[in-house]
Amino acid sequence: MRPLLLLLCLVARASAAPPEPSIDVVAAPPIETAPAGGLDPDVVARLDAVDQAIGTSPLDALVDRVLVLYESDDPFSRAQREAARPRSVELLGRIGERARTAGDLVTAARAFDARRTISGGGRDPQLAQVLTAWAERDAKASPGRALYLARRARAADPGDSRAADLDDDLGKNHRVWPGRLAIVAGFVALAVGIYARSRVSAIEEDLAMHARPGDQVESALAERDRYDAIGTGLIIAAPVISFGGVLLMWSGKPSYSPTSPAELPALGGR
Amino acid sequence: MRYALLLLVTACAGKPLEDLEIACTADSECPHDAWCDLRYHNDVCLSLAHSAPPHIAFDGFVLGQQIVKTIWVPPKTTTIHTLRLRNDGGSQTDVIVKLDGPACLDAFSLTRGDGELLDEGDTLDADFDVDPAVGCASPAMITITATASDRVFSFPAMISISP
Repeated sequence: MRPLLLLLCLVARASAAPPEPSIDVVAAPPIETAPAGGLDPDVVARLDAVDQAIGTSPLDALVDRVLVLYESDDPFSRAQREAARPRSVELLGRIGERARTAGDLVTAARAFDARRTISGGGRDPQLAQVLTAWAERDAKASPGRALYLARRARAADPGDSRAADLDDDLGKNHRVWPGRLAIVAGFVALAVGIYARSRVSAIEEDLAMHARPGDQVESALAERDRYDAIGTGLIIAAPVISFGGVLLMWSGKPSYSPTSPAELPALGGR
Repeated sequence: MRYALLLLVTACAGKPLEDLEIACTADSECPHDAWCDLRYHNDVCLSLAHSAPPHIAFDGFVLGQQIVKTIWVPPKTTTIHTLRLRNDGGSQTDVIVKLDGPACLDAFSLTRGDGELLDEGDTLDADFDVDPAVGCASPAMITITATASDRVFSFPAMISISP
């Protein structure tokens, strides 16, 4: 009974309290998440500037300017990417061509790589060729990087035989077959050695069984000595050859793994 | 690695000739640096580097303290004499001595029929008896045959018969 009375008192008090004052605030205009015309004038101006600067400005800086839109992660920039794609792809293609002609493989690779990423990652023979040329150039000095470039080139154009060959060449253990052959040769040597030793025993048994003229005995002994030397030599050499083959295979394993250069991928975050 | 080298050295050194036990019936059936051991009829080639076959030489007849080439014997009387053989070969042997001559001389070896032991470098004084018949030609030629380890050595000798 007592809790019920207490509850009634609380309800009566609440209904008797005066109403709170309301405050009206003037709202700020909503933040735009996309330009009205699809592309912001600043972006258009930047792409125009790049277009005009091709041939006069450093090409790597131009690549950076084209990619500003794609490296910015704000909603406003993201909203413009689709509209800016055709122009960006065209500009990156031109920058890449010019860099390639000038022998600047790194900038050309960056430009083509970014173009491929922006355009959806399809087949890009130009990118594959540039990456392959770069990989070939650096294969000796930096095989891990060359392997990465070759594989990226192969991904860009699976039909590029140069890229495929380079990928296979750099990623493969070239001593597998020589090593295997050495292992097999070791077993063959062992078999031949055992056969030669069996011939030694056979000759010795024959000499002990039958007397014969001295010249025939001399001849048989010389033959026995030959088989003895060959057999013993091969039996000793067999494990050395086989073990050498294992070592050869082991030593042929590439000691490097694909390593991306600092310049690639041109658009890693996208 | 050490065992492999040891095996290689052992193989290069080759198996000793004695261990091969090459069968033979004469020296000519052995390698040039070996001889045929026939003593116990095991008939195997042995290396000359370790031993050599026995070789029997006839020194002469023993007469007192002297060695002479010929002796005088009385007719119709059995007398015992001694001849000396020498093993100047390279191994011990058993020597079987036989005397062959005219029947009228009646000469026989008195040595053991299965052979007398004769060490290498040593000498054997072999007794024999002789009983010449009357009319036996003098001097009589005899052949001393010493068989050592199946090797036969023959020596001609002369015995004079006293008138």
